[in-house]
Amino acid sequence: MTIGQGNLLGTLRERYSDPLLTVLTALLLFLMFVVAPLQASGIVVFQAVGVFAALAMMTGVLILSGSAIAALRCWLRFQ
Amino acid sequence: MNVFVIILRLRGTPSAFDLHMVAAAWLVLSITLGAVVGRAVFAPGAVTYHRIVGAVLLYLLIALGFVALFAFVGLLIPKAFSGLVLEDNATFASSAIYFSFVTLTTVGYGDIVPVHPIARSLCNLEAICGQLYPATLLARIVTLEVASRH
Repeated sequence: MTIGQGNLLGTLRERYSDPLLTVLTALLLFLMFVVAPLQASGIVVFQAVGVFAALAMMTGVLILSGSAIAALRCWLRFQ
Repeated sequence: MNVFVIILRLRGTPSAFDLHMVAAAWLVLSITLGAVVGRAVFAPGAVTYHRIVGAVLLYLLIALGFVALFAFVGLLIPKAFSGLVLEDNATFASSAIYFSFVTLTTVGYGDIVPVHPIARSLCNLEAICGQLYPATLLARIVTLEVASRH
């Protein structure tokens, strides 16, 4: 299920493909080195923070890949 | 997958099956994200700063993939790792990520140790990836970015 170039996602991908790599890196670093240890410490708020960060990552994957299936796989992991 | 695990947790006590599901989810995430990011990083065109950061993201995803593999090995082979408690709780992800990065960067603090030969082999593989990836692919991408400035 590939999303065509002519629509909004195709435009976003063309424009933000490279900066999205930096955003995804920052989000993954935040999830692994901030959210995971704080969750392990028992701070419940960071469960929600983790979910929001994961949703942002999923959106980034959707734009970067242009494929709903790739985003769905990430969705399956987090949800 | 995680919703399924939460439902299982609500129905009864945590089990090894929950951890298998979580590990499978980590593996799916790292492979999918790795494929998407890899395609963007190694696509034709000028190598930019963002692509270098994307290559770093791939390095992090290697560690994430090995988190899942360590979990599978630890679940299938009892006492494969000394010091790593494979229980379905909040500390598991943090410990597994910590061990994976300690191995990938070949720091080796020694608080968590692979004992079983398969676990040791997996750790060796991760350490080799952790050494070779920055020295070859990452260095090549940085070189291309620097060359494109001139």
